[in-house]
Amino acid sequence: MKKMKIPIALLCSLTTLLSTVSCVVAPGNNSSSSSSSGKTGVAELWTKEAHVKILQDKDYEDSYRNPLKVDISACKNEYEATQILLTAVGGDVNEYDIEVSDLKTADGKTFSKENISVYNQKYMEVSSLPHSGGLGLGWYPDALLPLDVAVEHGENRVEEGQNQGIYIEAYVPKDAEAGVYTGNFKLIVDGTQHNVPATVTVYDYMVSEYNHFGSIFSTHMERANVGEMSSSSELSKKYDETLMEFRLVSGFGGVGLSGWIAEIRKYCDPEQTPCTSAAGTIPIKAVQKGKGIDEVDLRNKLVALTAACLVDGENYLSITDTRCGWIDEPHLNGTWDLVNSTSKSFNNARDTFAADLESGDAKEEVKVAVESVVGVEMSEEEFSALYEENKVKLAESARDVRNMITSQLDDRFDYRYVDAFVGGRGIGSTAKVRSSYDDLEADTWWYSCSGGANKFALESFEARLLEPRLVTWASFDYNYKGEIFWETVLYLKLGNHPITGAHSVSYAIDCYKEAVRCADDPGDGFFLYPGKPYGIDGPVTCLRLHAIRDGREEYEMLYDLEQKYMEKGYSPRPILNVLFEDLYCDMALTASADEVFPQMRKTLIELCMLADKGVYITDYEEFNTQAKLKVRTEGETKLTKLNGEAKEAAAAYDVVCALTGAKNSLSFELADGTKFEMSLGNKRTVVKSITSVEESGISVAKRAELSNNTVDGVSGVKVDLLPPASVEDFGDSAVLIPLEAGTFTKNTTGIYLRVYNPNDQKMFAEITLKGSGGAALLGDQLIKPGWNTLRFGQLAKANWKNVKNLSGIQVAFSVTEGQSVTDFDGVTLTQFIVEE
Amino acid sequence: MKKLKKAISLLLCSISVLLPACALGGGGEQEETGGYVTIENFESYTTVSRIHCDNKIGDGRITKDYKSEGNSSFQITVTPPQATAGTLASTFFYVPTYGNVGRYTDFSMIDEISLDVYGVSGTDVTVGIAAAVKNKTATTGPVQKYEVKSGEWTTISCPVNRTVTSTMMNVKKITDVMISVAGRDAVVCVDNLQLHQATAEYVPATVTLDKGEFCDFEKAYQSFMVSAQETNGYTPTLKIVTDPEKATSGARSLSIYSPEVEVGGYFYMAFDAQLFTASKFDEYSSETSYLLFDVYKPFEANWKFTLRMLNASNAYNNMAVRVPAGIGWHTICVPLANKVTKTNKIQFAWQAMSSFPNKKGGYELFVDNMRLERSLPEIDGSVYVVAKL
Repeated sequence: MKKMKIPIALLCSLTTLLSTVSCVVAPGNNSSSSSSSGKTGVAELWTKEAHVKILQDKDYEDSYRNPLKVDISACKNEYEATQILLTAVGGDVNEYDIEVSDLKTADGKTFSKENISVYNQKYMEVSSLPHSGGLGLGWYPDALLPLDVAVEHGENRVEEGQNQGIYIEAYVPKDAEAGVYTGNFKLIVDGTQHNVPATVTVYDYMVSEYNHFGSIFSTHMERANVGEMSSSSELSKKYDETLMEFRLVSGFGGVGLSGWIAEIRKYCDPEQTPCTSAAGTIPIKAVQKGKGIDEVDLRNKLVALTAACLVDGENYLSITDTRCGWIDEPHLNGTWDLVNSTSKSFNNARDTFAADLESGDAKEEVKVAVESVVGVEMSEEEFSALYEENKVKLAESARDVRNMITSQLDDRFDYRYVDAFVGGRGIGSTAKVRSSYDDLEADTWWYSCSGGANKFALESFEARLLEPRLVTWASFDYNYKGEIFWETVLYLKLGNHPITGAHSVSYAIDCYKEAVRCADDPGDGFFLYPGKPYGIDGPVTCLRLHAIRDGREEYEMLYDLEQKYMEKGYSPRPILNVLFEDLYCDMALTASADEVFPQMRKTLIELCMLADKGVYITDYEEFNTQAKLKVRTEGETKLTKLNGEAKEAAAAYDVVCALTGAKNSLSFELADGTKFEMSLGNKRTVVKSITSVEESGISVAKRAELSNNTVDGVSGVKVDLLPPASVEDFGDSAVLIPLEAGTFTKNTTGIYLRVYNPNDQKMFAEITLKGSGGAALLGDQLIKPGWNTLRFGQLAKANWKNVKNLSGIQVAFSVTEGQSVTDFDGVTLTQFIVEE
Repeated sequence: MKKLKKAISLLLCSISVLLPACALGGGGEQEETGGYVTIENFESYTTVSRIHCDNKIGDGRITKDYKSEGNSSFQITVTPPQATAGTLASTFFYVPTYGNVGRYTDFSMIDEISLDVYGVSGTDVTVGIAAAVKNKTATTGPVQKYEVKSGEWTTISCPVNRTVTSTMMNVKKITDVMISVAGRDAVVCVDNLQLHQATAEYVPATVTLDKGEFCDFEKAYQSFMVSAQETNGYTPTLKIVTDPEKATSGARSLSIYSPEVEVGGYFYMAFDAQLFTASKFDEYSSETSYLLFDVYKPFEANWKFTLRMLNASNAYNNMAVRVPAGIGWHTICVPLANKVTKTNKIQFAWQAMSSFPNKKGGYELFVDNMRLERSLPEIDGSVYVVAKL
């Protein structure tokens, strides 16, 4: 417009430079390191289960690819997905689109296409790996952009040699009828239409509309506002509701105490919430006062929640927790005094309120709150009746309101006041550490922040997608109650400013291009993307978030299953352990987890459906390469076949399954035609019977005495643990069990040690592999009182380079910290078993 | 304007690429002067998504409804909370000077920023432009303000006073151009943000002080040693006035006009870093060291503000200051013993409340004779000694 003095001399290089400009693409484009070939190719079309990440720039062998089809199995009120992949060969794919259709059962019932969402996967590069393990460097799928939006923005193209994922997700409505719905979708690639056979199988089981696994996923809208270039309460609400649709809670908005309560009443009620499940956690926003919490503010909020409980008949207090930001991560910030004073202050306010609630001293406050905060008029008589009827139960729930402290156990805590830990992934890393949390009265939650691969990392791009999903399975297994994540909307980059060099600042970025936003951990700090660049009012979700929801839905199945078993006095945990062991060990997924997961999930759902029919599988244990269990039935539900043999009606069936076949399973049929089959793993072989010291060759590795022993008629070797001779004599008592080289390898599914613990307290066994090259730690297991078959899976995680040729295993025994081994009688070892 | 733009659109594109390597980028030898570069044409979210709204009451989005150049422009809407809709409010956006296409962070040879603006809302809108450095907080250069007409495109040409800017921030590392929009229900579209190359070097200001002086407002450069900060709606007007009646030392003093508010608001102004180095501010740290300054208050009631001393790490001390009742000059004595180490900024913040006549705004204060003392001297007249931290 003015000052048109253009440096003409420089225009000679214009052509070259303009080509550079043309490579700059919209944030929505799936840009990668390669560029368009300029010629049209063909698309190889294939599918893969939705629980694995298919990288944009990686070659996948034909054997890894599934034929083109959509095959989704889900329960009612559950989301499940699959993915179609397009691999461009011989040139680019210039455009693609998909048309979904209604699906039908054989008898004409319809699964509406309105319940099927189609997303285009967007990719970002991971160019450095801060953590060991994971899927390596490359272009990772993450943001899920609705395909119609991708088409609108011209992002429906694939460059030569690249993979492009289309994520197809079905939501099964609560009122859907069970059955197999089939039909065809149309995939149009560069004008050619491909038929995609589509099936949605709906199980006759509904995932709970409530959430029993806690969550506080912090959403700092001031950070989201940067990427959205906007700020409003409506936008904030869209973000909150999106997270709730994924069974996560950030917090509740609303203006003032009344507004806050109104939001809670809306979103914690399955009938009122616009989401498919009710919010499962009510985080109280804590206010600091001096070196403690503002006790008046906390009491006001507890009073208001109690009032809402009485009006609605819902126990909101039972899902209420708080997190005081000013005592975050004391192990890093050194705020131990503040943690203890805040915890004491919190406990005082909470317990005083609970006592007042129970005694009736809080009655008038609650009555006032019913009218002034909840906004409901209630007669004195009606209120008094409700109050008296519920005060004991609500007081108990009030006492359970936890102050979540993001730290691991530490001697600097005053344990009289600390009652809820939110530990990092390290809290689940060994059986002994997990056990130390079990011993506390405190609740334990997970805390994620720069987790890294192979540690059930929710956030890390390079982690397998099953990690954010199976963290809930492991949480159920380990008795962890919820998960806190520090940030979901880091639409900024934290670090040194690229221009000024200023330290620890944040600056705006293109959220669709920057995977590393803090701590050199790709994916940390965000599970959402700004919708604004695509004209979407609200956030764009991502693969990791969908995996988190999938896991939370499955947690509800596990929770529900346990409730149903417990109602009958049973426990599902022994049989569930069979599933867990195939999926993960300690904090690491098994090598075969991706492959076996669909079957494990199917088995879980079938166990839930069986429990609905009054069929329970209990008392599972393995011994002498056999699985022993009971199948219990109630009412008219009876077995007709068990492991292929016809059965007479009975209330309980004692079952013995040999585990000596290549593949072993339990199967039965019910009178109504229901068939059930579950894998019990691969062939077990007793590779060493430890019947005596002499025959087994077992020897003392450290501070132990060996003797021959017989328990319940079974011969074995007793290991008595000796106390340290001095403070310098550290390390646990241990024995060495010699094995022949090749007895097992890193590819072996698992090894088992049969142990008898005569004490009434738990002990621990830690296994180290020994070989010609040295030693490698494998892991530890808890030894419960009585007989144990200790399983050690995930053999590949040991450092086999150190081991070289296996010569044996060293088993170290220990007791809970603070206890003396002199108070324990020795354990007896009887068998060493290998599962191929 | 549009015709001309179409004719040069291709050239503009090339300039965007070429300039970083020469005059504007600071990376290569300068061959030509007088050119310009379009650092943002608001065509794509590739760059636009890095624009940052800093005060949470604005909405920015690409629109194809209005455009001065290319296919789209950037629509900025001031979005005050619902309770205060319709009142005067302002928002401000930071447009990065570095990014996907080039790096234009060296403003030592930039003497003008230009921007095409279209008034959409049909109401009076004021648009401000400034160079800025955005780290944890933003340091903004002198803000030039322009009234924008509704229903037509206007090209704002905003001169960059490099001498002033270089005293306030590192002129070679300008990270953003700040665009503020103020008005009632204000909506504007902006397009074609350009930096224009200077034809001559600038002369840096020399910051010198008399003994014990912090800022007496007598020296020429001191007219830009204090700056107002944009907030959610209100900005005080600062200027150096020459009027011995309104000065306690020399003839010049700082005039602070605190405009009348319609809803509650906060005002901020701050003294810049170079004064601290020149005055050896850090050396005044004994129990008896004070910063003193005189305030002229035109109304009877007392006037309160918060004085905050900060350092580069954003550590700070807050001090509550009360200018005593009575019209006229008052001396404020601020103890320095417990100030944060390496203090490099002093900020004044005060609240205006529409429901309190004395605090509603619409008054002019004067500040003069900011000085440092190693012991508290005898002072005539009204004195207020700020409580120790």
